[in-house]
Amino acid sequence: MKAGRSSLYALVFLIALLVTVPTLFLIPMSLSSGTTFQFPPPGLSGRWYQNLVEEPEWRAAAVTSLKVAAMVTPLALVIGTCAAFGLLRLGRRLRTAGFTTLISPLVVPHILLALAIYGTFLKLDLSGTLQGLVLGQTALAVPFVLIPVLTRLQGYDRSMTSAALSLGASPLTAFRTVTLPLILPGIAAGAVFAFVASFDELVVALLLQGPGATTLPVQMFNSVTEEANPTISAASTILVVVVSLVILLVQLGWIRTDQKAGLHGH
Amino acid sequence: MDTERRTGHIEIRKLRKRYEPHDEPAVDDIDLTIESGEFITLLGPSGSGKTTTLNMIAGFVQPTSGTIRLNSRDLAEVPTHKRNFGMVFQNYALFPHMTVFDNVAYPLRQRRLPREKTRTLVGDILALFGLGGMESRKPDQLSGGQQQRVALARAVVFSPAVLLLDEPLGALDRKLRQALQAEVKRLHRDLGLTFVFVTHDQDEAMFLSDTVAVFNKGRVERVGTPGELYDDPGTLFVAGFLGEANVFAGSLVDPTTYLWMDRKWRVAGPPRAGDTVLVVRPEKVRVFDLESVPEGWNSTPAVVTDRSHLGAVCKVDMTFPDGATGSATMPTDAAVTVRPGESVLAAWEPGAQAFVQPERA
Repeated sequence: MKAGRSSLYALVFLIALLVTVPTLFLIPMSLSSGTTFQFPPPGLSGRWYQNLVEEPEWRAAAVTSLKVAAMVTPLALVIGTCAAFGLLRLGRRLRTAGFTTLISPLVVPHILLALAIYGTFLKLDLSGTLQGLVLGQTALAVPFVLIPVLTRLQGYDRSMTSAALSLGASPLTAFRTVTLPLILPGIAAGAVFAFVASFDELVVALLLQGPGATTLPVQMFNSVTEEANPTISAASTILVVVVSLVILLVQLGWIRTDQKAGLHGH
Repeated sequence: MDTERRTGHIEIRKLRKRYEPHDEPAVDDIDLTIESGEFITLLGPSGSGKTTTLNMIAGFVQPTSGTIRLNSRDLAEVPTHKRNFGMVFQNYALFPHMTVFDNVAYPLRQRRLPREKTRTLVGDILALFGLGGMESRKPDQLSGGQQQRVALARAVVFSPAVLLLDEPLGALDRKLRQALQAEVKRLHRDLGLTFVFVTHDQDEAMFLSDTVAVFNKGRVERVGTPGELYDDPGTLFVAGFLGEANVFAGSLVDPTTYLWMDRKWRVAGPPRAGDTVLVVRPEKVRVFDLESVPEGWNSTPAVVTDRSHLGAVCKVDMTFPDGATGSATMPTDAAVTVRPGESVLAAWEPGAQAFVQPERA
């Protein structure tokens, strides 16, 4: 029993290593004093970070990425959450059809979607614009909201809503005071996933890029094909740090609310 | 507002609910009057329409046709949150993210009561339910019985017009259920509030209610006090659902004689038209040796299949000549020593039998 458990721990640890180690190489490389992707780096310096901040294209790309992700997240949240509520009210067959359609961006090859969006947006003059980028990435981010919210809603006991109504709460108040707080973890998870899905999305952003609509991943891609120097490692590091921080913050937030609940119990 | 101050009098007329156009209606033209301050139980098997009826009273389900009136005010256009009905759910439906205090204060906050008043009312009702000192606990830190008490407190703290209870004790084990039944009964007496209680448990219904409405296949089969329903069930369904019954489907040959198989039985009072089936409660039946049946009793031969000692009473299971099974229960000390396989006479006084309508198709 005990041996089984420790070998399970070892296996999980190995998998975790496999997943994270390549990413961890980024950080020393981004701090390299050399001009090539050398490992181990010949010396340490912050020049590539300086480069990132000082070079206008890089700075603009980082700001664009944040802007787009900040718009995609609330849009995907509203659409995904409403869709989850809507789907639950449908009959079984319609629900399956609707669900499959909405999560198809996860299944359909990215490049196909990107091409379709590109073709359509060209006609609509949305290509190369920030709005186009936001719309395109929102479509991709919706499933990341829909799935956790739907999961949470399926575990939600509807008699909670009935109880709130019977106690004198209007449907809106019942939603605000009972349903929403109970499905909030699903919505929060959706927000994190949607943000991350947008922030490091490449294919759609690549096709829809334009002046003022170039995201960090696109800038990285472009720079690899042109100049290939460790600036890209610095950018990647920032990408990794931002994404990890967002996820970490949410998890810390969870722990805090749990502790608060525990303390309250005294 | 004035109508909501009085404890509720509910009038249900021709109420019907059909979920799908081609389905049998879940509730089929029921009429039911619930008096102010009455404890009424809607009793029936699952799918009999009792819960759908309760949900229509609560406003969760829209009737297909018919009316529900509270103190003569039609509720058709009144949404749930304005009906001022307390409701207790089978799974308690306590809000897990709120403390006991916040759960019970919830209806008062919806009514915008002053903070001080809310605190006093919640404190009083929690004390009444023996929940003092648990204000800051979350529902998952309570036992099942405590959770149910919080649910009850929350449903009555705002002085509702009616308290609706949807199988509220179904999830508890037997001992706890009995303790809470006594509490519900006491609560009803103390509050003087109209209670509408839904259950499929006949013992619970008999124990708690002033009035029982027996539901079957979407209709109200019969309404009456527990005593009335037990002694004069009216229909075969009620006879079988409320307690046990020995059933004999024969025919009335004249106003004083009932013929079953080759047996001629005396009839004490002439039955209502249409009541063609004779039923006898097991505790009215005695088991005798073949010759010693008292003068004037009705009897039938039977073969004993089992004899069990149930503590205060002893139960004898039998098979009658028509192949049907039945039973007799009697005080343990009065029990004759019969053994399985033995042929006996099962007998009862004519006054102890009742006539009921056969089962509806």
